Amino acid sequence: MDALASLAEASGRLRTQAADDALLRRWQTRATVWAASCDAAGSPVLLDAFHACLSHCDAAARLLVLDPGAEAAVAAAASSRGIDAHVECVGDAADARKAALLAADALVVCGGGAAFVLDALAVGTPVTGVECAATMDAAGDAALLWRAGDPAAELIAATVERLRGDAPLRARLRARGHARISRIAAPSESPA
Amino acid sequence: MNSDRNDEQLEQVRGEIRAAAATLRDRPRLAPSAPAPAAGADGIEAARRSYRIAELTDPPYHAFVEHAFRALLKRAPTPVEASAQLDLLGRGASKAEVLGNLRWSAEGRRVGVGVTGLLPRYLLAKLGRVPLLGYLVEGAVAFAALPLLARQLRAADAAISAGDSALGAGQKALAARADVLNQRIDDLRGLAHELGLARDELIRTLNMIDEGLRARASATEVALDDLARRQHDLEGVRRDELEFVRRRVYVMDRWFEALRGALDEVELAAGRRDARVREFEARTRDAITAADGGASAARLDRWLDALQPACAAGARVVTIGDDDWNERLAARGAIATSFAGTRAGDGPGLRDALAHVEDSCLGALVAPAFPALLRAIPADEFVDAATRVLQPGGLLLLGFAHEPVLAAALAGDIVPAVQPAVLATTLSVAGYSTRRIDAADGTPALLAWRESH
Repeated sequence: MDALASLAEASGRLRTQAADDALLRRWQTRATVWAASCDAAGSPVLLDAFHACLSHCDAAARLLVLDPGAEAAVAAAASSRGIDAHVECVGDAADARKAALLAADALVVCGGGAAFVLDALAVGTPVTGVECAATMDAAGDAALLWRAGDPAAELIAATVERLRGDAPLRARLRARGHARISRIAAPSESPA
Repeated sequence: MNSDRNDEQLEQVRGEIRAAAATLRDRPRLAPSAPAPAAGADGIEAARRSYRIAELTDPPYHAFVEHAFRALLKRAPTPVEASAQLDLLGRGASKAEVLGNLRWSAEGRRVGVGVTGLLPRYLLAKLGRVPLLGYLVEGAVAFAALPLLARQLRAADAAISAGDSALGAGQKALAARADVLNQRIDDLRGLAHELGLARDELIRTLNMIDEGLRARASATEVALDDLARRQHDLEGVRRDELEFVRRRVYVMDRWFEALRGALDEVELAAGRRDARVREFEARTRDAITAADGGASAARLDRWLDALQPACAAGARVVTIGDDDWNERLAARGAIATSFAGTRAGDGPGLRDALAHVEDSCLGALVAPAFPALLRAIPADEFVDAATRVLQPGGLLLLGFAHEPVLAAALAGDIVPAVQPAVLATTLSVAGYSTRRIDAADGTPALLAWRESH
């Protein structure tokens, strides 16, 4: 949990970090925007979910990949599905990452580390995706996660669509996320 | 409680999402679409949906066209599109007409950006394009705007005059700047000329240095050739000397080998000689011992007879150098004691033994081989000791047995040569009377005693 606490502190810094305005304007469109973190194993689920979103929810949706280590796997999976025009890699810069999280309707997590989850909670972006130990440990009850055995692609696409259209739900998750970050970052309290 | 209610709400949301997901695939498939157009990085404010007309008409010429496309169509114009709009402006079209053309084009209507105040101006501009009516309308508008146009004309004239003044001042400043620049150019030319001279001088110097270096290089090459020749010669000499030394070493090695063999033979011969000497000594010693065995008995009997007066029952007799006397003296009733050591290293022990003998307690003191005894103690010291330990009337027998002397010589000891006459003289000086007693084999002895007063 010490590692999580230090990550939470880092997320606190991201919260005070200025976002890249140009990128923020570029990504803040009427279309659905997904920020995503995944590993190589999770990239097919992520791309299936995003493909479902493109096919049935928003044909102009955009996927912003935060995790530099997953760029190659995501690019290959997007190319094989013919949706690579909708996928963009954000890069390493913190201000770009914050711009992506601010512009996104949700952070979709399919594996990968906990840092992006904490970043999203810190800036108030709802988190959804597939359950894994690191994500559950970081997000606690502040995320809408689905078991890997579920039809995760459709569930994730439907969750993002719901989050996009449900302002009270977004507010509840944002409040839980801020509480979660505060709990983890406080050194004297034991995290839930 | 509040947390439970939140969890219940979240579970309810999950259920609704599950239901939505289950029907997701049943929805009609959307037509493929390009992602939302990029903005921001190239100056397009994609999210902005309304403008004031002054924002769009303020930029001049090229900037106006660029800005109009980015604001109303949310994209940059192509070169052909930009050229067409600039051509339109060049033919006298108003900016409101250009903006209206873009806003109410098919693409502009699809984007749907609002521009406050654009519609009436655009309609007026379009009305001016209608034959006859347009002429009348534009004339009426121009007539109505005559005061405004006159004011704008005066303002334009004032602005032009101000521009002319500024231009004149600018020209003067430019002329002054040009003078300064010309002066600097002249300075630079002078500097360039000086640099050219310096360059020529430098080239000459470098040429001289180059020639000097070439000459030194040639001399160095000659010296190196000479050095190489010398080295070659020295190597030849060194090879010859090395060969000479090598041959000498071989010869010395063979010589040392022969010398080692000769020394081995010498050592072997010496060993054989030593063995023969040892064997001879052993045989000689055995022969002497064998001869002495027979002679000693007769000799001792003769000398014991001479000692008989001092060997009464209970008399104490000390013999130095021969153990055989003890039994014979004991047989004659004396109490006999002997001390065997007569070699040079026995001196301290002999002195110690004599020192432990009480004064005037011995009936007789016997030294059968007195010359051998002199290796351990000087004659005068022995005589003094004898004088002390002999009781009045005691006898001193000093023999000159030669066999032990010869054996000692064979063993490497040197036995002093003492003649009986010389010893008799010495004893006489010490107050002794002496009588010579020759044994049966001719061995002499001196019997000495002190006259009692």
